Amino acid sequence: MKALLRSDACLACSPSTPLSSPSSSSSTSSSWIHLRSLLIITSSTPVRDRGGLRSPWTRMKRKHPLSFQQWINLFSPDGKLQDKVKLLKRVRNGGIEPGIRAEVWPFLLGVYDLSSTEAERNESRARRREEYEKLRERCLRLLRGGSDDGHQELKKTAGGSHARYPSSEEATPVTPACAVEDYAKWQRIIRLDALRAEWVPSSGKGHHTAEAARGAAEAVGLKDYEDLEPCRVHHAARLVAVLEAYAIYDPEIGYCQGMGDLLSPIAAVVEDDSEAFWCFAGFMRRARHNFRLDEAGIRRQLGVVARIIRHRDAALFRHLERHRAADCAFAYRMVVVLLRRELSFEQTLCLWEVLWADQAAVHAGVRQRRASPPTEDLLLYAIAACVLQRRKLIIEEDGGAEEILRECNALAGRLDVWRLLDEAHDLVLSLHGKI
Amino acid sequence: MASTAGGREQRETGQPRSQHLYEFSRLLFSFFLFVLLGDAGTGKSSIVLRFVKNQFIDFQIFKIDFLISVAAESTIGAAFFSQTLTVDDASVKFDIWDTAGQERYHSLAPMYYRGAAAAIVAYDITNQASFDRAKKWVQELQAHGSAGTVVALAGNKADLIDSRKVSAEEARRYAQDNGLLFMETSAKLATNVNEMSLSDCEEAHRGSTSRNPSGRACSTDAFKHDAKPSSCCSSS
Repeated sequence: MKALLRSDACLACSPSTPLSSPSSSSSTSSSWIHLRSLLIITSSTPVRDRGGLRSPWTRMKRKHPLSFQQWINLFSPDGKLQDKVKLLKRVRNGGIEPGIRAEVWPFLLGVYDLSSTEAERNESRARRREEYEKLRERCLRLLRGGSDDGHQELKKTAGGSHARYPSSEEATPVTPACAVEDYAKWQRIIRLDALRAEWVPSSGKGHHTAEAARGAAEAVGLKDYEDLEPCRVHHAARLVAVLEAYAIYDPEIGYCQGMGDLLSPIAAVVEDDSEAFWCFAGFMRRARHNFRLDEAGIRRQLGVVARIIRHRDAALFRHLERHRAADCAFAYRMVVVLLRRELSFEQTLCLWEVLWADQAAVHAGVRQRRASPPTEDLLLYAIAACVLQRRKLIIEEDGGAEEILRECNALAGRLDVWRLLDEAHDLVLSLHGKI
Repeated sequence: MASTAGGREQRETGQPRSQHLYEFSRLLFSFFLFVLLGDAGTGKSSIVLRFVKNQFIDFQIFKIDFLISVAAESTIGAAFFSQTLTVDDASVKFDIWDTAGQERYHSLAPMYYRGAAAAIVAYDITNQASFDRAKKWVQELQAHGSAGTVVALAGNKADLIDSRKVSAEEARRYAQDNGLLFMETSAKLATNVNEMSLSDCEEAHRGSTSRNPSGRACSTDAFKHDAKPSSCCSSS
């Protein structure tokens, strides 16, 4: 049943990939598939894509995504964005058409200033490309020359990334990850995770020959890929290149499992490595707190999820307290990889660009009349909405923190991203001042 | 696409082991919690997948369903599974915490191993560093784990004999010196995965019936369970 649900996502992603044989998914009799989950699946609408204009769950009219024409029309002749309010409003309400994501995302992620001219962007792009290439050269030197000396060097420069990411959240000094783990370990885990990352297709251009893929893999020192399709090898090689460069760029964080999940969709949409790297670095500006050794970022966010649930549904919160789940640790993975594991590829892109637009709107001081105020923490409202959707199940099952975690981990393919966003916006609207 | 090699065979009745399990299950209300620990990429999730669903996932297999994707991608935080095995007429429910491997997620681990009946510490026989890390896990469990927790050492990826870096002898000696159960497993070929869990189960049972406070005394006969390639229980 679950395989059936995932299948529409699979078909959308990769028509060439054969689906599983029915026997492998349906022949289980373990306690994995609960009768309850079957009931849920049949009683809710299956995963919809952007879907119709009117969602059955909301009174609001579903807006169209930002189109190519609208995007072009937003710019003045010298390539300056004329109406950032309109841009952010459109993305917040309906997302972005797939074809122009690679162009719009750098603006949302702060790679380009919203008020920059085209000439300024070209200049910045060239400068950033150079910087990225320097990072890659250092990676290759470390790869060839063993990484012990390089790691000492990284430790010395770790203070630099602190300056790069000034943060109001950090009252106490943070132990950099490179003080505990070394670069060689990151190299190993990056390669491991790159090869097993869920394959996400690039927009139709991804016809890589076996030779080209092998070349890309060898360039970054990737091994043990013989059984993979060339396009996946190519994708894995790109992930390795960007993640290694990031580990050097931000040695305070280095590499932590989960970061590959955050990069994979960006790398699939943004086809140039340097551009993908800077988009990822922009994304990590906020997400990096999730990967800190002291877990301060993750604990703060789980705390916010708990407060949202407590304010909206005191009975459910009391239930969580009784089962020692009031810390919302069951939402850990949802927070760390921003619902990446729960949503399909296309759904993830939609959710993330709306989150980014919300954050960009906060920074640009944009407010919309009659709409929920933009917030840095829209993700946390979405996660709370996701838990609230399952309140009945959680309370009825009465199975403790483990059961709740299992329920949360088994959400893959069962969420409707636009319904989730509607409910998240509702929560923002009613609770914004209290959280 | 996922192989189902080494299918489930009905267990023969009348062996001492099933008797143990039977008593054990009556004793503990058919409930048994274990946790998997070990370095990143040692195959913890693959062991769980093999145990729970008797399947193996390799990189090249596309996401088929949720459980399979679990073994294909890195574990973030922790995942929780259960499996019920029927032994004779008794059914034993296994609750399993599968943890993330990277040291960064280390601080979460005590939450999962405290109170566990058994901890399986996995390492990759082709990676010496993962064996060193397994030793650290063992030390941590000895220092901070619950007194009754049975600790088992699993040398996973036993199918990759050509790239072996950790000898079975070395690991066996380490296990004996520290009072651990030890087996080499292959989640890929289904070698010893169920054996591992059942040995834990027995050992926990033995610990609880003999009121052995450490619960961790080495059972030499557990080593004799080695090398049966097929699983020994029917899944209910």
